[in-house]
Amino acid sequence: MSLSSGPAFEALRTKFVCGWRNISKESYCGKSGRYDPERGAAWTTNGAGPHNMQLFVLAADGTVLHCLPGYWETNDLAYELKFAEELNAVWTSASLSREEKDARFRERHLAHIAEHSRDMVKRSEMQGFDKKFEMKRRESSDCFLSENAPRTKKKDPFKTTDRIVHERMAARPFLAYSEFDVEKFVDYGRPKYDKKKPVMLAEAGGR
Amino acid sequence: MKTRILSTLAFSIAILAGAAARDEQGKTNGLAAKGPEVKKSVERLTTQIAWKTELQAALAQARTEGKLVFWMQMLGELEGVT
Repeated sequence: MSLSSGPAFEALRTKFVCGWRNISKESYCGKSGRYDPERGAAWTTNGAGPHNMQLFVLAADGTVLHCLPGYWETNDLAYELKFAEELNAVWTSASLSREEKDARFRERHLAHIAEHSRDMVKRSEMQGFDKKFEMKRRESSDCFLSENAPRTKKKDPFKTTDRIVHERMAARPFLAYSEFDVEKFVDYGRPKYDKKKPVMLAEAGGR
Repeated sequence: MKTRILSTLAFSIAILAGAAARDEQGKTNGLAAKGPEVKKSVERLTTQIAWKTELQAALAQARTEGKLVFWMQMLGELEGVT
């Protein structure tokens, strides 16, 4: 479970003020469809469905410390929530200038990538249909590893979503929530992510 | 309002990352959780966490309590259909 059990749930319950809003009227949101909870919950990967859901961690003044698009495994989510708390310490520091804070934000987001466990990286592989979509726009996409970068799988040129998220966050140091360009931030993979698909793929034995 | 929250959150946890249910032979069947489990999880999520629907209210509470805000944006007016 991502939100409702495990370390992520405990963190949300005790350390955060939680809220939500419906993004169905937003231009970047996913495709609407029927979901039936009776069918149970399907398996997917970290960061899948970026257009359907975004998890923001905000400082108390509305500054974006972190944003996780899509769905995240509970341990990985808890880990990223803890990271956001560390960034809050930077943001609220009285001894750092704004320039210094922004620099630390960038450094820490990028450094965090290398700290991710192998299991977390494995759980963050992009969905096949999202890879297919990005392949079509390879020239302009930031979802591809550089030639010399180490790969989790041979010949797989794609970055994992945990890397994509941190790289994109590093380019957005301490933005106000009202200024955060969600549409661009969640722009990876197929724009319309059909919620029915994970259930259908799972039932067909996919992955 | 609570029904809407429950339904929307049902969706949010229903597509789970990194979890795979296994059948008796240890093979994954692709489902991370069955319907009744999902319902229980929704219940837990909505009764043990007080979800705000106004960002400013969440931020004000965070300032008072010295906490951060977890702000979830999600698709849907679910109740079976979005």
